[in-house]
Amino acid sequence: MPDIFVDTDQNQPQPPQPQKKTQETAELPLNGSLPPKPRHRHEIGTLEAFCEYPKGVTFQHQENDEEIILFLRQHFITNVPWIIITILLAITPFILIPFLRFSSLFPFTIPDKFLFVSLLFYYLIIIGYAFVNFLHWFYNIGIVTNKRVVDLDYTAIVHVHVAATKVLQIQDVNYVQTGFLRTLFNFGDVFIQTAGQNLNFEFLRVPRPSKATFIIQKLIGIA
Amino acid sequence: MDALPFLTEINLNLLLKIPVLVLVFLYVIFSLILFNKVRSLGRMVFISHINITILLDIVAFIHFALSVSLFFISLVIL
Repeated sequence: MPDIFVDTDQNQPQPPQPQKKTQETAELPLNGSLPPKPRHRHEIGTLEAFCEYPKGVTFQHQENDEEIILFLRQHFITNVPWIIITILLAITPFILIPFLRFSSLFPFTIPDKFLFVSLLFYYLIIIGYAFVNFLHWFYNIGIVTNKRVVDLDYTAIVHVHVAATKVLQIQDVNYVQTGFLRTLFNFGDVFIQTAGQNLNFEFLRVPRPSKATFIIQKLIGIA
Repeated sequence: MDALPFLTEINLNLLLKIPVLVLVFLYVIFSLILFNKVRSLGRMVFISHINITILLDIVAFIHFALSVSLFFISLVIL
């Protein structure tokens, strides 16, 4: 009669079972490989927009074994419009106030104390404008790690959008680089397509888009 | 002054004072929001070497302090 249940001896030593590597714990797909590490990882500069294996950068919810492979921001040249606007706004009162004082456009004169406060307020607004624009550039960050892609978008004063996806869920990466300025300064848009209902990622106006695309493609195993 | 007789010195002062104070007060609120936002963003991404996140915190605080100062200056001067 065959045995229905055989109790195994609890004290008998069991052979070691190999640990199964689940999809969650796997760092890379089968074909994927990390880009070669540079010999000396350099500290990221204040205004640096493209950095491979940056040293000294951490982000919220970064895991212990998670390593940043690529750090991206918009090219610094994209800041030029707001810098020019700030300079123009800053010099405008020096031209406008003497002009208004000596012309008879207004039927009354503005008291000096109001002019003083208005001028201080005006320059404070200009400082705020420049600061907010700098923050928009500084905190629009794309991070590619050995485990996932993180996109931090700070588009408005009260709007911050953080999105992340696993490297395994990336299906395709491509870039677009059109226009004279983009070709001259070598920056463009990198698009990352993810599987299913997940969001697609866009790293807009980043420097060296071809290299960024190649690094991500290598990571997901299609390059 | 003849064209606009209602704009006496007192009326003009009052007409200018109230909107300026309201605008500066709104700007103080804006700068406070900005200060908090900079702090929260600094926690999201931290660049340790250059301490730029700390520098941005300080700039945001100075901006907030300047706007508060301007509000009190305008309250006293106007």
